[in-house]
Amino acid sequence: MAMGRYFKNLNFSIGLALSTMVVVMALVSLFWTPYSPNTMDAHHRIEAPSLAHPLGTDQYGRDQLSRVMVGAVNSIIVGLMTVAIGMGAGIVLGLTSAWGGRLADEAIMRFSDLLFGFPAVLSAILITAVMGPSAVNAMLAIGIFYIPVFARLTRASALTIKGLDYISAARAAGQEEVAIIRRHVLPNILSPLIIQATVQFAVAILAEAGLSYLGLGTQPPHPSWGRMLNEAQTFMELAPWMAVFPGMAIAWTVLGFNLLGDGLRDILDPRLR
Amino acid sequence: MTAYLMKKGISLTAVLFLVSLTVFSVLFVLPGDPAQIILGINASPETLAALRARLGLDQPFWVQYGGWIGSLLKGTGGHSITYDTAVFDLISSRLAVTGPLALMAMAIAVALALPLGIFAARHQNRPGDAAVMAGTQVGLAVPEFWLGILLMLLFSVHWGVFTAGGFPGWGEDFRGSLKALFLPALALGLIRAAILTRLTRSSMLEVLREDYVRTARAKGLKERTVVYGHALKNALIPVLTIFGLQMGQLLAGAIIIENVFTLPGLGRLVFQAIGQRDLPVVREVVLFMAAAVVIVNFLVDLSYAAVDPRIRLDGQ
Amino acid sequence: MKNAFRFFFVVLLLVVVSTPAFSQTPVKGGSLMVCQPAEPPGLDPTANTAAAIDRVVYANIYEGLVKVDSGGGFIPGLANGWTISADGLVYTFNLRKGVVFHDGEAFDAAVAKWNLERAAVPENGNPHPEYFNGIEAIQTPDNHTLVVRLKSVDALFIAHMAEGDAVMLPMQGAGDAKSNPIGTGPFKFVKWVQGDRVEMARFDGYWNPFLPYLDRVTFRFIGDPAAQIAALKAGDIDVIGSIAAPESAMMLAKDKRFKVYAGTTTGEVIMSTNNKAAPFDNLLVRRAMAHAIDRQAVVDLVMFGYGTPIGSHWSPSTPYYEDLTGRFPYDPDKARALLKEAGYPDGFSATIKLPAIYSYSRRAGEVIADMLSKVGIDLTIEIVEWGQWIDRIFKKKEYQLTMIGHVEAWDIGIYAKPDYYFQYDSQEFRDAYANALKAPDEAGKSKWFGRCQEIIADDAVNGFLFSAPSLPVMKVGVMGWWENYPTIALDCTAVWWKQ
Repeated sequence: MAMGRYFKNLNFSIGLALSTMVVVMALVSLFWTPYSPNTMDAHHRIEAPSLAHPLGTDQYGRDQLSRVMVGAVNSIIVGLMTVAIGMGAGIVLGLTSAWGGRLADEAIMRFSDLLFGFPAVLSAILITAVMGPSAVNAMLAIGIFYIPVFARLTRASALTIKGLDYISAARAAGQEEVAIIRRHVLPNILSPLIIQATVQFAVAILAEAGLSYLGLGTQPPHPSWGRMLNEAQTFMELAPWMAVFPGMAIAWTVLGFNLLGDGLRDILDPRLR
Repeated sequence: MTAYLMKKGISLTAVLFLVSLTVFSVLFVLPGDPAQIILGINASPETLAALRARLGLDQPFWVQYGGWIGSLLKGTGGHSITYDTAVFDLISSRLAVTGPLALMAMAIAVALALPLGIFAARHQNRPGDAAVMAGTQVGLAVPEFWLGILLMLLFSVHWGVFTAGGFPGWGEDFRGSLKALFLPALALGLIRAAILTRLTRSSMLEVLREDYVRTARAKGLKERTVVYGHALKNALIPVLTIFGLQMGQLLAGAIIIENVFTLPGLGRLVFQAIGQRDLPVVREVVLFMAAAVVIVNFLVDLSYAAVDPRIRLDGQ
Repeated sequence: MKNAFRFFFVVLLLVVVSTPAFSQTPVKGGSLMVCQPAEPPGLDPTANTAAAIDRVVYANIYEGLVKVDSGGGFIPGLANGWTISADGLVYTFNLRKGVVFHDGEAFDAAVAKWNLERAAVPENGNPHPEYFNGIEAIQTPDNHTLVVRLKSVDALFIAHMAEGDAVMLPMQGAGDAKSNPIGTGPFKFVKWVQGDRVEMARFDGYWNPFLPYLDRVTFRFIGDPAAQIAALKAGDIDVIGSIAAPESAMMLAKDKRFKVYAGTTTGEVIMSTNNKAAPFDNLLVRRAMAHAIDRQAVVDLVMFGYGTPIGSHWSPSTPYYEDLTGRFPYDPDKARALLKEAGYPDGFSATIKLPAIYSYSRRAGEVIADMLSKVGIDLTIEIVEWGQWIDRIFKKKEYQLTMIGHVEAWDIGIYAKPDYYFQYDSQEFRDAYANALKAPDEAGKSKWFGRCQEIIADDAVNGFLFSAPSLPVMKVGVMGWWENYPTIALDCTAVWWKQ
């Protein structure tokens, strides 16, 4: 596969550039930040952006740039974990649905209808209320809603392949069903799944920001973009910059991964346009 | 048609029953004792036990669940612990905020999305299209609560033309109430406009490629007539689906924006009720929201038939 | 005699209106719209401890024998004055003459006796019968003299007589007090629009002919802080009793239309410590933490500078306060040395559980976690909902550290209960507290309440942080509003509008 094909796609190039910057920022923050992200300084509270603090400081005098950087790590972890949960369970359920006979198919599809129909924010709030607010529980709450997304996609893709000749041929050659799925089906449904995963990655970052804004996601003092926005709102009149930069970081990241997903779809799966 | 309605009706009831059971079980295991929260930290064990008995919290699961379903079927519903009123009254008073908010948001979204989507489709792959599509990409990436905060920063803090949150009440101050809903509706509407614009565009493009549109063009009809007279109607079907889904989701999905603007809506009600362990409120609002989503989806299905006579509701 | 009374009233006025604005002469008339967050669950302060009730009715509709002034001192209410016998057992109250209830009933010694005896019987529903059941006998030698004999010395008797639980109700009109309160106060109840407001109007028959100044007072209930501020800015309300968010106080102070007072309250914000949970059962560890906390920085970071650092469980606005903030000055090196001595040279990890409903508590938790991290104590923050806080921390004591404001005045007695959630067990403290309660005179009270404060400060039982500020915000024209919040009251008696 020539990489040139990828870079000719504008969506892909811009998306890759934006999201790479976020990943690099997150990686750098693991080793270095301008200030320690949680260290308070009573003498430099709510200072406007300056050379010393390019994004200003918050109500505790913490450096906002350092916190935005570390917040990127948080967001990336949330994206990866939720997609892993949704994709892992979704692929298994989707394949069971496609291969397991009518009853399993019906049960799994109705279950996913139920999840789809239910307001996601509300369930996430209920889940965190029962299990306690934490980053892990927020990821679980979001990841659960990804299961039907990946299950349906897997099922649909698998069903089209199931009827193809080479599967029948493999079966005639005496291969086991599990082996057929692993060798012939999975590799062929990977493209749509990867495209979907990129998009869901972005959605998860948005969702976690919303939950953290409500105080149900990442707990203090660990920086999370959503929680930073929550704190910023009370200081809106005194320190508007606190409300601007974490939101920009979210929009930047989500835009990056959305574009990346669109670009990948254009390239890998032109039929879906 | 009747058979279809019957079948749908049964599955709707089943879904709502499942939701009610799930919600009730979840709240049943929720840590924190409502009686203790009401009475505060200095309450004696005897008064606590008495209140628990009065609230029915000492009953086994199935008795409590049965009692609740019974009260729903009778049409009375539960009684809020914190607000000391019937939950149904609370829901209707809060719906008077969330309902208009959702409607305003969708009105803004549609007013922007239809013209922009059609424009983009007619200028496919030209600079105008690219600009609209870039705008929608940004719209999809911006968290709606952040947009709300930004709007508040601009319109309330900077220009001072809107109050930063709060809701005066329809009866007290009608114009003020409309104004209070405008910024949150704009935040919700702009984000949804991005989704609807993309959808209108792609759906329009698809329809414009269809044979009957080509035929209409070949007959020498004006482009305007072709686009607005023939294509638009069919292009609207998928748009309508998403519109319905969004509308249902908005009743519940406004939780975050209601918190940003401190609006006394349904979402904020349920969010606070969870913290206050006002269980009768939580379970009935959740059930109401689920019912709203399910019923709106059903209405969307029905309206297909009205828009497109080719679709028949025989369950296929 | 009448002139002598007049003179007394003027003196009283000077005391009551001792606010910074007293350079001008008060004007009569006008109405005041006061906002408080919570709607009271009823309007009878003798039937429920909810602070929302007292804020509306105390000193406005109802009065007791003793009142609290804006500085926290005890001043004559329905009693002109009182004398205490040398053994501290007999209180002789001199009742005011010519006092009538809003419904026309007269207030005299018989009514006062009936009220005190009624409150002592638990079945009558007073939540604090223990304030009254130390009374052995009440005599009424004449209509305006009340002689109360106690079973044993009670240093807090006058303090309790000044509480909302001890206000005087009329014998006839007491039954409906929850929904139709009738008192002797400067304002009479007009109506209660449930869910929205309580209205009251000037009582022309008030015993002090000079007061009140206002014609009408309305209490509006707006729960949401942002909505409160919006209503103030829109001119719908004139006063917010106290605003919760210090950053809002700072913002409103910059607005020329409003003024903000930064007064004191009886509340203390403390880092409650489980004295039975390792490593906090070690006195050296608790002292190390006390040295590791920069209290002024906590006030600056958490409260934007509003609030007063404290060194013990006693607020500066409560009598007998002793300033112990110097007992453990901020000294991280000393803290590290103490930790080493305690056997934790590298520090340790612990969890602090913060109740989600109080933003000051969440913020203080974050600030303390940062301060303690500098001496090697690594705190994990866990936000818990109020229901869980009550259940797991307050009742089951499943915690190491938490952060909460204790709002009641005179509540140092909680340190005498070993099963209270601090789990602090000290015979020395219990003896000192018992002595304080039994002290017959001022010198004794001052000595022993001071000793109580010193013992818990030395034992570093909890992280004593700051006294919560009272932050009333009002339009600049509102005069005579209390700057401090020494008791649970929003007293509008001497409030007036500057023209």
